[in-house]
Amino acid sequence: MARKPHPRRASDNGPDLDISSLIDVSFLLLIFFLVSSSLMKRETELPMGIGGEGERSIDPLVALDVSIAMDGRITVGGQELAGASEPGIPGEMAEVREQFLEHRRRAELLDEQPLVSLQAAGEADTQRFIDVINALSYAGIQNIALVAN
Amino acid sequence: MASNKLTRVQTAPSDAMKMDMSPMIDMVFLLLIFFMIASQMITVKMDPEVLPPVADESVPGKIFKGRFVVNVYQDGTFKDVDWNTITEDQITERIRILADKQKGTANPAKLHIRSDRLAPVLSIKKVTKAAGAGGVNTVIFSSYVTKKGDPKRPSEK
Repeated sequence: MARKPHPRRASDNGPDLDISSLIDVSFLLLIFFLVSSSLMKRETELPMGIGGEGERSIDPLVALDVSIAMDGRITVGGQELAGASEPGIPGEMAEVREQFLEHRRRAELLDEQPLVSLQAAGEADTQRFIDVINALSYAGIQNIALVAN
Repeated sequence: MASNKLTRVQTAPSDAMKMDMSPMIDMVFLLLIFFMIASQMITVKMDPEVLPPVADESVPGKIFKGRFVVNVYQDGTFKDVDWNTITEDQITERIRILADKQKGTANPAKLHIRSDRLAPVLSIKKVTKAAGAGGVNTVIFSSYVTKKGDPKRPSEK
């Protein structure tokens, strides 16, 4: 009597997927990203349209005069609003932000573009200058004129 | 006798010890996906000596075409994207060329200032004035959203 052939297991005879090349590619990509990437702090951007140096405006309804003193004090429309301490802290700029928002609303009521003329002392830090640009961005003001000291 | 036969069957090549690769593949894919998501392509060459100011309203950049990058240092000097010292006249000239090249395209020329937070405003004024003379008034300031995790300048290490 012929012997019944011993049934083979599916894993022995079935179609095997060779995953070694997949692992090779995965490792290659992994090593590439491990080598090329660095955990650097991400830089962001603050866009602003800056007009050339000109004269200060006379009409406060048309343009808001802002100045940054050498020690970082910020004056908006002739009124000092932020002290020299702790530049780069957004909370300190709350009043300045409010003034800029108010200026924008006024300009919109007059159907005009909100204009800001900024007079910054050459010796002031960039951080203070950026504090003002940041507050202008908060208020949605996209264009300023840098005025000569 | 039967035990010998059983031993032969048990040690057949098909039953030899195999390494299960699936957890390793899982880990590799997990790490791969992490690095693909977490990494960012360097689009603007960054001089680590420049520590940008903090601005919480700043946003991540999207289009990097048509930019003229100027690094402004603590001492008030400025360099181009390849960290070569440039004068205001050179800025004007090169910006003018870039503005002509980008004219009519979807990405008009822009000035990208990477200024150190302690650099004097006078340098920014000089650079923006030079760019204005070259016909470019749109300025992009590099910044960080928060002070947290500030890197150190190489000169301070």
